Amino acid sequence: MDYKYITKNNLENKQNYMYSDYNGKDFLYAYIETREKFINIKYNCLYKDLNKYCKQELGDTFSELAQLLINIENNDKDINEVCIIIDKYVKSFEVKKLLFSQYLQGTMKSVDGAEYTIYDNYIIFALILIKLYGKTKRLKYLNCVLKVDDTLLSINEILNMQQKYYLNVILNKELEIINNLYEEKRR
Amino acid sequence: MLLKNFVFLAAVTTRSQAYIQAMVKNNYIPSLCIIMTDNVENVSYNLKGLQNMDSTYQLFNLNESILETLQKSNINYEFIDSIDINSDIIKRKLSNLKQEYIIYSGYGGYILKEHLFEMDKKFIHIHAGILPQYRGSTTAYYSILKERMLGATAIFLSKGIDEGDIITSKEFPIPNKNCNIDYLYEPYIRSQVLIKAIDLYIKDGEFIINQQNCIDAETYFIIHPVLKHISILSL
Repeated sequence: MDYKYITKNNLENKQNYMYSDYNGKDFLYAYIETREKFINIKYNCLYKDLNKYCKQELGDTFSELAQLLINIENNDKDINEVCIIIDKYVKSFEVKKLLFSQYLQGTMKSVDGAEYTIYDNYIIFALILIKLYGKTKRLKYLNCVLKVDDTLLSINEILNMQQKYYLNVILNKELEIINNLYEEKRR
Repeated sequence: MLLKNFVFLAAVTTRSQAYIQAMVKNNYIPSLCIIMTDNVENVSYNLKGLQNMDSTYQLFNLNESILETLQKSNINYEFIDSIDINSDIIKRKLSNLKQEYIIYSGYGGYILKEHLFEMDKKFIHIHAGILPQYRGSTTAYYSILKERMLGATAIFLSKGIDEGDIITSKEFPIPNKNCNIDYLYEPYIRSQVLIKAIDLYIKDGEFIINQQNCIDAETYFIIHPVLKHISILSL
């Protein structure tokens, strides 16, 4: 069975998840295969240190998200405050299926000329969503990271080694979460 | 009972079928039904061919089109050549209505724009989730995953999505796994809460509403198919 939510490039071919078909367990096997195909390859990179990864200068969005990720890792910011900020990114991504390099201050309107092809933004967003789901169990974060990961897998061939390394980390965790959820809920 | 002050604004969907059949069954006859369609031929079409329908469920009659229900119950109806609730043609039509309440069953993906709230009308919408805990989209699946139950809430539509004043709500048991949620169970539970809302209106002579308490509010977005599958497989 085909898993049709990963195209050649989801950033250019916006996915519509509305009224998705139901195909039983076969669909879940197809989904798992899309993830395992990627994580079965080992990726090495220079920046396995998350702090170094987060120090890259890749624009305002990356800086804000990177700081939030560090805050989560260090437990040095109230989780509710983190959620308030991330909820805005979740809403924006869920609607547009894109993350822009810069937004107008205090809004989620992208500035003119802002790029949506800074792939590290999607990587770091996915890392945050995985961690926030772990801490809060809010399904909207899990829902969003599944879509972000579909997007990242659609462009995985043009990711660099460092991005592939972190995507590997994210997908491993995503599969673990989904498996646990399935086991918990199945009848 | 003729609901003189109510108009049913209907898209050609199973939700509209569920609503009008429930109203007729409970003898609540809207004074007018306006069918939004850009294809009048389509209105007679019933949705027999929908996949995964469990015919043992008799929640409402999928084989009876909206038009058939309206005609056999002698309900006044007319067509309007638009599927967009925000179009000028619909705006003109609604603003000329004498009735105050509009039971709204529109097409998915259309959010009411501000000009519709400037009219002296109240749009009754049945959201498929208990509010404010399950705002947003595809909330039936999220509530199955979180609490193994579904719910629906009748509200007056407002500018904020799913933030309107609450008329009433009700919880429902989870369906059998063979029951299609999108096209059968969810429209059914919405129709039952619509009837409950009308029952209360008749009993009280008015709608008694409550503002939403936003403390527990959560907004959900279109469910990813993986979570949808886990939700259905949990039934």
